[in-house]
Amino acid sequence: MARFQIKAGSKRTIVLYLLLIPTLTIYILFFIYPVINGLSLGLYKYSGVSQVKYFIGLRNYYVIAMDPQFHNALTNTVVITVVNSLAQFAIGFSLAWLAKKYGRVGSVFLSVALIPIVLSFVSVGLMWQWFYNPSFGLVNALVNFFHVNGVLTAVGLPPIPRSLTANPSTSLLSILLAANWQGIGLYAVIYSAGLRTISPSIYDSMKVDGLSDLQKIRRVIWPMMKDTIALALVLVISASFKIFELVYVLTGGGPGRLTDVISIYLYRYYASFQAGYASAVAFYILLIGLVLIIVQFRFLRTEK
Amino acid sequence: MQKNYLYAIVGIVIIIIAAVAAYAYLQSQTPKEAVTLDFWAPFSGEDAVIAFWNNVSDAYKNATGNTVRVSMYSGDEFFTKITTALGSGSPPDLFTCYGGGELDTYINESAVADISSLFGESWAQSQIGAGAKDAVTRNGIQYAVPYELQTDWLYINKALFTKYNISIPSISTGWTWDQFIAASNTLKAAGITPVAMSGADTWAMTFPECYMYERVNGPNLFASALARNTSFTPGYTNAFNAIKQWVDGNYFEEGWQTLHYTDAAQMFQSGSAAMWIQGTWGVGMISDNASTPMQLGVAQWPYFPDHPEANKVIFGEFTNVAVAAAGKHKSEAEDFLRFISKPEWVVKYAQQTYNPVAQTVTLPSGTYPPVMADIQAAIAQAPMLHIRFGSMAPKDLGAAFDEQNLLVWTGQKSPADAAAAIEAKAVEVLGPVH
Repeated sequence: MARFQIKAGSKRTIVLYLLLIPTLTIYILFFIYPVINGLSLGLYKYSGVSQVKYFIGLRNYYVIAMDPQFHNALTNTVVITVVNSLAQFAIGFSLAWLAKKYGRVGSVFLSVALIPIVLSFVSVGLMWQWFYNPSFGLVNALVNFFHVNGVLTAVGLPPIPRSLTANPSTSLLSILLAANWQGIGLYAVIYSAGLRTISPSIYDSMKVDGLSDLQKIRRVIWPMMKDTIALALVLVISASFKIFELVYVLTGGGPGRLTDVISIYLYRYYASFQAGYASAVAFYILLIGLVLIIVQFRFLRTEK
Repeated sequence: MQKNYLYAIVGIVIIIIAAVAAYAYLQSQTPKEAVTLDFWAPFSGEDAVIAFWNNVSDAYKNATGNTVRVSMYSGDEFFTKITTALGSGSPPDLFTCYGGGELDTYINESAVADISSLFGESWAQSQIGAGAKDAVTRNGIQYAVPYELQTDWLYINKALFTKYNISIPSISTGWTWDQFIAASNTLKAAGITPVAMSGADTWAMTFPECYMYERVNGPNLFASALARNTSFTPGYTNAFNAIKQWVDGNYFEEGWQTLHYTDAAQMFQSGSAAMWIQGTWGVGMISDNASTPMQLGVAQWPYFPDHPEANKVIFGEFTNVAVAAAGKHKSEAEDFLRFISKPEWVVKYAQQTYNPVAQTVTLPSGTYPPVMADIQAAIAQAPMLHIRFGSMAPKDLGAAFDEQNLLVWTGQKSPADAAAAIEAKAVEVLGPVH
């Protein structure tokens, strides 16, 4: 063969690489470049109002790492992420299992759980703000109607405060309730779809083996749905880590900064002409989120 | 033959000159294409103000053919959007700015246009007073047109005060801190929330912060600290200690920590709360008419006998409209500023919103409700109009004031630690004490 003649296999490879260029270009422009740009902006005192920047090295990254408010916001974000992951997995999977096991009746529960998904986080936040209102909220009305505080006091437990969002001991819980109320339906649907991918013969053989529901789920279903569970966990972790609208509308990060999350922490600095600092916070969010997802994938891969 | 070429060349040149002249003439006769201006402001939730800006934009369009797209945002939302728009080089043509450190940032980073030429016009010279002009002037150059003068007050429900035999403080003499607390205790005992507070809006808590600082420390300490002649620590420690004592007295409504200022306004308007701390735009938000038994009154922030000279110092700032330096239609933007500054529109602004105007025009009697007459009288006799601290300082330092104030209010930080944190931020932004 002549030296300049390209083999057919190489030609195909070249064409493949050429076809990848548009996708790679978009990926680099809209994903890689913003991340690198954000990291570099974090090295400057930068208001964001113009291109005027003053290089300050790693100072922003250092100040953020030492800031107790950042630690507080990060802690809240991690708590919300962990609780959402567990709750939406447990309750979402339970609903999906009910729908699979009890057919139509179970599907009703699944459908009802799906309704909140169509609402925006802002709508959910406003709705739950009214639910939690100490004067006319539904939560207080129900607590009073069922004499819940009387029962709690009688058994030596603290009463439910009238203002759940403003009370330091219940403000984060109020956010978790609203967030999970909205999110569970989506994950129930994902798990439901995962359950349907399992062959009916598997279900039949589990029945023949006489396994209990818990044994079926633990020994057969979950291992077979590893990928679905991994996908759902990635989704809930990334959504929870970025949580903003619900917290902003429901508590504003308050009372004080007790329910602050890192996205609101970032937003606050950006709104006060500290875009360089906010960029550094964004980089921390990316870093921590990536670590969480890598750890999760490793854990799931080990179990396989 | 050569002569023919010469005549041809001359003829062509004449034709070209004539064509160019004709084109230029036709261009000057052709009406300019209408432009669309964008105007951004942070007055979301203030219906009367929004209605005014929509009305004046419609009138401007009828007069000039140019459209003004008015966009209203909430406080933080406005600043994030304006930052992004300015930083990306696609700003709105006009936007609101409060002056002080915020305006300094815009000027230092060439984000706002020099509009000094407007101030040389006869309308500006007669309508914009020295104080208003100073607020938008740096190094002899003007960067915005003042439109509103906002000041901060303690609104009172006179009907409730009368009902519970609390004497209504005189706007000219004011009342002491002890008198204010005694009134609050009386109201609290009667089941009325003494003061409607909104902890979800950190800016709303800065009004008592500023007043408390001045009343406790005297009127000059803050300016001295800002100029780095002294530390912020002692002044803020004193102020935060006083604030903490007040907050610990439980004079606010249940759940105030996560309620917004519109919720606090509703509480006050409904008579559930007897007092409300708010800017003069609060008057427009609260409909006080004959069928509403509230009888809206206003009081000075209480003073401490240690510093009687601080009594009657009023906090506030001008709300101005600036032209973006990178805006595409600067001359049309300046024309819009001229239009809204016409006396009839300044009068309409006062009539429709009840907001005090920054420009000097003759207002018909009855423009403002009676409570505004008290406010105007108090402003007239005030020894000093102090810009709010958060606006006076660079914005990142102002954010630190707000943040530490919030943490003290909610018990998450001690007054001393919060004051020290403010001083640390001041050192970072402005440098150490001289």
